[in-house]
Amino acid sequence: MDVIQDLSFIRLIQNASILVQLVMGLLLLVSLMSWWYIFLKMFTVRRAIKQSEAFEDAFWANSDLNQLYQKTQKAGTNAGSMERIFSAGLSEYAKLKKKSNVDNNAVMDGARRAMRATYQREMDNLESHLSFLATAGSVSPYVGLFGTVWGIMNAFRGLSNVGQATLAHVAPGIAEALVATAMGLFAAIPAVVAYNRYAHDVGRLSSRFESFMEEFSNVLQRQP
Amino acid sequence: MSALAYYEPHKISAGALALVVHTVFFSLLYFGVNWNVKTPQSMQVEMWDRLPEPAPEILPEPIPQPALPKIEPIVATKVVEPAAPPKADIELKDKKKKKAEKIKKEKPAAKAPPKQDEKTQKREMEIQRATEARMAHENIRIQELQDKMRAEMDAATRGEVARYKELIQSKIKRNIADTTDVPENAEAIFMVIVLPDGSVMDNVKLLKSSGNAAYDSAAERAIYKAQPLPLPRDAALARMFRELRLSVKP
Repeated sequence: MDVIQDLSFIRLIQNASILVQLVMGLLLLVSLMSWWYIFLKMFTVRRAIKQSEAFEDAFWANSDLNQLYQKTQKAGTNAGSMERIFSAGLSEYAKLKKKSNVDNNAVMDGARRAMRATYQREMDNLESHLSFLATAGSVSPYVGLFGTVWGIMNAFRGLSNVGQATLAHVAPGIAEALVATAMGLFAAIPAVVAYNRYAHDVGRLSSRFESFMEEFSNVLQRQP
Repeated sequence: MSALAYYEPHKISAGALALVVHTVFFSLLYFGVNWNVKTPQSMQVEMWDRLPEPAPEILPEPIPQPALPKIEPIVATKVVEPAAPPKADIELKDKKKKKAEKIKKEKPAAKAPPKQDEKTQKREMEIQRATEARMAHENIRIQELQDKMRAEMDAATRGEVARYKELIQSKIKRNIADTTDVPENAEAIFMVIVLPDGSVMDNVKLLKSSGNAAYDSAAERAIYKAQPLPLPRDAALARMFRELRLSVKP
């Protein structure tokens, strides 16, 4: 092992053993994915909040449900989660209302079930990828640590052949190994922060949807 | 209602942003942080024994030596001799015309030696030019040879030499006991003769003392303790490490 080492960033990665390099590659991939999801979730959650705010405003300002229903049907895939819940509930209500032999309670139950199903689907969509962020945040430090432990083991094993052991013999190996921990933390920290942030946002949206469903059921029950 | 109908317009821009974050972070690491922390060199190893040694060191010296004394007499004769006779003429003409004949005799006599001088000067100049030309030729040839030698000692071997220099440095540095009460600009220079097996000859010469006798002896002991010095396995390279000029700084 050379005593004089080039400790540039690229060299540190190049000189690492294959397993440590694999760990670093995996962590880089995880970091890329988690940042992708972070930005993706940022856009979708923001959009969902904005859309539900706009829809709530429109819902309470406009008493004509049919007009609102037409609007949501026109929006198609661009419709927000709350609009979907609304249109699912209203269409089910209208279908059941047409049948003469169904009593009012059954109609309400059917509409509520339809809304709940849509709500579940919407929540599933909003929560997608959040589990990846959680996993990346909790596991990647351990993966990095594994790479580091392996690298340090190699560094010390190399030391066994050297008669006069000095810090200069081990230091480069340890520096290489620690790059893996650094990368693990680099992947984990933003993922954890983003996970907490989005979990909170999605939780708020979910309670908002639920209260809207209750309110909308009341509105439907009041219908003649 | 199908779950696939969800509209996600920002997939690509999110991916691009993720890439941007990573490139920014890694370029910050790469360009913003100086990874090679250079500790001040406490030791220098200089090659004392270079292969093209005798040629360049001896030849440049004789060139100025013959040139300078030759130029000086020429200048002296040119200034002194032509100037003196006219002055004498004027003085003589002014004083007495009787001595004009004597002066006329003197004149050729006076003028003759300068002519001879000029001839000899010309000869000398020619000789000088010839020798200078020869010298120049030889210099050019020596330089070409040196260039060839340098070219032969290409990047690879130079890298190898540098590596072993640093190995020797670090090995000696490790053996210096302590350098706490020595001023930082102190420098002890040693002349060391290294045997092919890496051991050091007993006559380590102190070329320049650091001013601190204790530090000098500590450095000398460190040199002995560092035996065997790491030497390249290649015999041609190892030959260059036979005489080393070690400068030891705290």
